[in-house]
Order: sequence, then C-alpha cells, then structure tokens
Amino acid sequence: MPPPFTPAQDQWLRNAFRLFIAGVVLLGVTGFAWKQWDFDPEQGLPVDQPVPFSHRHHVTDMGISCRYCHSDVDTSAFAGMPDTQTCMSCHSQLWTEAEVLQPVRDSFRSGKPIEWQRVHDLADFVYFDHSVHLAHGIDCRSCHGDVADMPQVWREERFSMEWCLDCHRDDGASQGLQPRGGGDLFEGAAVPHAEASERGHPLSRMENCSVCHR
Amino acid sequence: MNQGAKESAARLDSLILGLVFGARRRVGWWAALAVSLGLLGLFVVSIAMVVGRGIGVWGLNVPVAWGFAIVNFVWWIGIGHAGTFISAILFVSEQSWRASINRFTEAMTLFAVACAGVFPLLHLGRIGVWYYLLPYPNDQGLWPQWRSPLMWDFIAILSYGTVSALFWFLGLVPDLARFRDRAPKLWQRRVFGLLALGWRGSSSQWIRYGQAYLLLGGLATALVVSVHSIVSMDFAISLNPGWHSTIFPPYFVAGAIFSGFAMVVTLLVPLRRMLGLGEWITLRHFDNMGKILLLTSLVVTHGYFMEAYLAWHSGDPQEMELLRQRLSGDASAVFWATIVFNSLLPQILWASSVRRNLGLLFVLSLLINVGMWLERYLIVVSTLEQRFLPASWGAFSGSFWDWGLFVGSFGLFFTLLLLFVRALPVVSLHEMKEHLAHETKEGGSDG
Amino acid sequence: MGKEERISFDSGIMARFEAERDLKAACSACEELGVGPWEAFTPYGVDGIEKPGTESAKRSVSKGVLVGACLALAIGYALFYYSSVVDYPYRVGGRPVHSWPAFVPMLFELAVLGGALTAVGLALFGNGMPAWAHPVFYFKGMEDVTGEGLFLWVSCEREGDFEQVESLLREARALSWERKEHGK
Repeated sequence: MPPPFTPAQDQWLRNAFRLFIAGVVLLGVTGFAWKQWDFDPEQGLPVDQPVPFSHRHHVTDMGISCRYCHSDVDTSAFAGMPDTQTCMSCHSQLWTEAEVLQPVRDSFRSGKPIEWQRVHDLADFVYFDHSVHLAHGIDCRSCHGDVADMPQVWREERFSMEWCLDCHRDDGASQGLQPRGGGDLFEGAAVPHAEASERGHPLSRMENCSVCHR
Repeated sequence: MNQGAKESAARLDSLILGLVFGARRRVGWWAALAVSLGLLGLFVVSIAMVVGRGIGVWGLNVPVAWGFAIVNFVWWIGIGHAGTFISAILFVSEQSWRASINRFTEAMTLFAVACAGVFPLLHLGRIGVWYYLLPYPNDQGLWPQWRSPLMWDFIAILSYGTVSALFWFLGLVPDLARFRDRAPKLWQRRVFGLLALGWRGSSSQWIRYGQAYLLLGGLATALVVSVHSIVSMDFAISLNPGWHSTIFPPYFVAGAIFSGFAMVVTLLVPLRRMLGLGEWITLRHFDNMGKILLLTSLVVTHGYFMEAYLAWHSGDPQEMELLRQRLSGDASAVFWATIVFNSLLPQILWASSVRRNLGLLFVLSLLINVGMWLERYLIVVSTLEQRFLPASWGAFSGSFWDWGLFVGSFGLFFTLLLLFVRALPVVSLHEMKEHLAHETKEGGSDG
Repeated sequence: MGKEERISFDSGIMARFEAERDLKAACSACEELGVGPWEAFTPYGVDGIEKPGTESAKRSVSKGVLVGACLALAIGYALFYYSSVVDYPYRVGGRPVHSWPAFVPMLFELAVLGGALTAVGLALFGNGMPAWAHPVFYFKGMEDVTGEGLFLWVSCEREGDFEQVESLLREARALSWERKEHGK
C-alpha cells in the first residue's frame, strides 16, 4: 500500500512546515524590532484645531509667556487651557475682522467654549501633575518639545510609560532635577528654582508604581 | 518473540485499532460524553461569568484573597504528577508493568494540566493581560519580577505543560504510524500520517528515538519533584502561619503523587471495563498502584504530623492559634475529614486483598481525591482566614460560580479524556510489543 | 552509523523476516560480508541489531540534549541578569538586585525545558523526519512495518551484489524479498 501522500504533496507539506517555523521565528524577531523602532503614527504630526492658533507666532514673535494662557501650570495638576476671554483680551482689539478668528468670536458671544483637540492625552490611569514637575525644575520643553517654534502643535515625544521612566529612572535627573539645557523654565518669564538641584529623591521612590498609578 | 507473545501482540493490536476504527455500539461512551459536555457547558458559562463580571462573582474577599482558583489549581496540577511519575520515574527505573498504562496516564497528565492552567489565568482577574507574565518587548519599560515565587510557578507550569505534551507526543509517534498504516479510510490515513511525520521504524530511527525517550524520561523525572515543590513555594516563601514551612516542598510532592495515583485508579477501574482492557491492565497494576498510594499516604501523614509538631515546637502564638483552629476550631471539620480520607482510610491498603478488590479500591480512590482537595482547601483558606491580627480575621465560603468552575473543570477533563480514548491509541503498542518480546526472551525461548 | 537518510533506496533488496533472530542474523551477515549499506525496519526497538556507529549516535543525542539544556539555562540566566540588574534594577526589601538564588528554580525548569525540546527535536526532526512519502513506504507489505513485519533493506550498487545478498537472505530464512533496480 503506498503512503497516504504523494511525493509532490510531501514536498509541499515540508515546505509549509519550514515556512511555519520561519514564520514563528520572524514573528519573534519582528516583535523585538518593532520595539526598537518605537513606531508611533501620531508622533510629530500636527493636530488640526478649530482655530489655526500658532504658538510660534504668539510666543516667539510676540513674546507671550506660556503661563499667560496655561495659567495653572505651576500650581495644579492640569496646565489649564485658556478660556475664550483670554483670547479676546487681545483679539477684541486686534484682527477683529479676521476670518480665521470667527470661531473665537462665536464662542465669546454664545459662551460655548472652543473645542480644542488634545495633543497630549495620557491614559486615565496615569496621574500626571504639571505643578510638581515644574517645582522640581522640569521645563515645558523637556516633554512638549520646542512649542515656541511650532506653527501648529504636535506631540514631540512618544509619551509611553517607558519614556516617562527614562527620567524617573535616571539617577542624574532624579538626584538633582534641572531644566534641560540649563536655561529658564519659561522663555521670557524666569522662575528660578535654585533649590531644585538640592532636593534629591531616591531612585526607588521616583519609580514606585504608585507615584503615577494611584 | 515466541508464538504466544506474537498472538498476544496481535490481539492487543486489533483491540486498540478496533477501539478507534471498529464499528461497535458505544452507548456508555456516548452517555459519558453527554454528561461531560454538560459539565463543560457549565465550565464555559462560569468562565464567561468570571471574565465578564470580574472575580467579584467568587466568594473571595479580604482577608481571603486566594480561594477556589488556587485550591483547584494545586489539586489539578497534583493529579498530573502521577502520569509523569508513571511515564518517567517508572520508565527510568525499568518497571515494565507501566507499559500498558503510561499512554493513558500521560494523557491524564496533559488534560489535568490543561484544567489546572485555566485557574491561575482566571485568578489574575484581568485575563486579557495574562501576557504581562511573559518577558516580551513592551513600551512600559517593565520586566517580570523574577524574585517572586509566582513567576517561578508560571515558568514551572509552562515547562511542565510543554514537556508533558512533548513526552506524550513522542511516545505516540510510532503508534500514530501504526494507525496511518491500518486506518480504513484515506482521510484517516492522511490525518494519522501527517501526525506520524513519516515514521518508518528503521533501526537508525529507533536508536535515536530510544535514547531521546530515555533522556526525556530523566528530564521529566526532575519535573515530578520540582514542579510541585515550586507550587508549594507560592505558599512557603510567604510569612503566613501555616504556610511558612520548609516541610512544604516534599509534602506537596508526595501529596501530588498520592492524589494523582488516586485519580489514575478512579479512571482506570471503569475505563478498563468500558474499553475491554482487562487482559492488559491487570490486578497486578492495581496492586502496585495500591502500594504507591499507601506509601505516599504515609509520607503525607508525616507531613500533617510535622506541620502540627513544628507549630507546637516553634511556640509561635499565631502558629499555635492556627493549629488550635484546625484541631478543634472552625477549620476542624475540614481538617479531620482530610485526616480520615488521606491518612486513616488508606491504611486498609496494607492488605493485598484490598489492593486487588477493584470496587473497594475505586471507592477509596474517590475518597482520597476528595481528601486531597480538602487538604488544599485547608492550606489555602484556613491560613488566610486567620492571619496575624485577630482584628482582620474573616470567614470564606465559595459562591455558586466557585463551585461551577470547579465542577465544570471536570467537564473539560472528561471531554478531552473521552475524545482521547476514542481517537488515539490508549495503550502504547510499540512499548507493549517490545515488552512482550523481552519477556519471552527472558523466558529463554526465542523464535 | 550515519544517518539513515544517507542510504540510497534506489537500488537494492527489501526482505521480510518472520523471526527477530533471523533478522539479527541477516544483519550481522551483511556486516561480515561487507554488503550494503543496510537498514532494518521493525515495529518496535529490537535489541541487538548491531549497526556500526550505534554508540556514537546515542552519544550525539545525549550531547545534543546536554547542549540544549545548557543553552536554555544560559539564555535564561542572561535574560534574568539583563532585566533585573542592567535594565530594570529594582530593590525589593533591601535585597540585592542580582539575587541569583531566586533565579535557580526558574533556571532549573528552563534547563529541563531546553533539554526536552532538544530531545524531541533530535528524535523527530533530526531523525529523517518529516518524510511523508519516504521511498521505503512503496515496497510491498511495508504497512506491516508498524505492526508485526520485520524488514531489512540492503543497498546493492555493484555488479553481483544482488546475487550475494539473495543467497544471504536464503540462508537467514527470509520470508520473501523484493528487488528494486535503478530506474525501475
């Protein structure tokens, strides 16, 4: 009785078997490669906003401080988004007829806030606090990149847990937190934190699970 | 092989082939499968409840955060150990009587490990992220905590399941080839042919195969001892009274083999009859298994005694309080049931007439299975109910879904087992033939 | 003994035997006369078929399993060391980050796993498999090789080999045999 498979089928099966093994190996290798590549489709892409607000124009050209609009950044967890009145404090006088500012005026009249799109959206189980980072001398650019030079804001960094831990685990950063690049925390509005370098935190406390996941 | 051995081999051959390909009325099998599928349904529904609603449907609450899931896990994993013991330790020590039961008990091991594996996954609470236990590339910058006994346990169970499956499959290959060559239909020949991988029994193949099987037996022997030791460390590494004890690893291993052999007896007594294997699985097998049951029962009893003795000898008030609770307090019913089922009743096995009385042996093995489950319940639950602070003591009782999962897991186990006896060779044909050939040679007449 | 698949099944004789003893006698006769290479096919592992190189084949399996176990152990240890000392040093209860005794149970299990995977790999894939349509399956009655048939293949490449082997088989009381010649 001949075997239940012909030589051609045998060859086909053997190739399929080899392909299967190769596929499993490839899957493993791809997994690790993917991890190294740090691929994130949204990173670096400008986010469309209802009003094409240019940080570059307002900060670099006009010299407005971050905290003029994000006023709670050094006192609360949330940096704060400006209400329409803040915009209108200038734009009731300037560019009052401009087409692009129509949503701002509409919002001012109707009282319905402008629907800004979030660029940096952390998962809900992460308790991030802006004030404590600023109080320890981390400047805005460390995480947000050079927003002062962005016509439209994009997410500069990956904002993964590992990326957070890059600083939280880094002995140098946690022992004496310094503004990256050594300059002022806010461009044009210096808040010196001379004592920041003297406040060290032991490494183990900075990467405790409950520091971020409460 | 002489003529008698040849006839025996041919009889076994046609019996095993007939079980799979023969047309016989199998009312008993279908009835058993129907019951098993019913239980499997309960299991699936219970899992759906636990996954859908969360582990709040269990009776768990602080302070008893480990309940039925852990009890069932330890119980099922322990049952698997008898199969590995039979296929590995008895193989390496050349106990040839094992040849007719090892295929079946290896299958039992595999299915028991499958049942056991479900419980820790459900116990995680968030089954969707079970892969957090693996060291996989992630963007959280985290690694598993290798210093935790729970990680040791995960790796031990992973190894145990894999090695059991490999051992089982390797033993099956020549018999799958037999099925390939004898199956009446082409599709059957193709299925078995595919699985047999082109086994042709050349002497070169047998030499490598035999050596690899022997080494695998040696490696699995190490697993018999190590896996349940590591399971016991889940408890022993902690500081809880009743858990923190060096007696735990050997005591758990003996308990595992004890409960496993009890399960083998429970299954083989009816199956031997159902499948007509009386000629091959003889009273001698049950006699030997009775002896192993007796020995492991004595080791387990020693463990019970040492637990109590060490609690008393330590003079530690928490240990003493736990002992008191077990001897005469809230946990005493479970404790004394355990002692009766696991220590006192097995003593009747000293009489060889009991070891050869299948009805009695069957009842005894059922009671031992119950006793071993109660023992694990006692270890897991009574310790957690009464830890160091009396202010945080609490009571535990299983909910409907706790029991549903436990009873339902039998559905998974028996469904797999029944499908196995219907689809694959339940007795290792090539090992039995080799054994028959050897036997006649030792008898002095060959050819 | 080299691997069986190095033997050519293009030209030679496949003989069937009734008794184990006759098969063994035929095997040793082949060895003595220097015909072959030959290969026996049996339903179970028959003791005492003396093939040259049996011991070295066994040793190579043992060595392979040892290497597999050691490799798994080394990979495991490297993983544990890298993840808990280099990449993610996390102090728990004041214990050192390189607390190797805690790795031992896992390393033991991994070594067993590595050894077992190698053993099965060598017994199946390092053993002339998979071969779903191997040439030996096409001989008459070969389906009995997994049941009760004892077979012997002797390769015949030179002139006169066939006659020499056939007389050898007659002497060893072979039940029947089948000739296979090049291209037929």
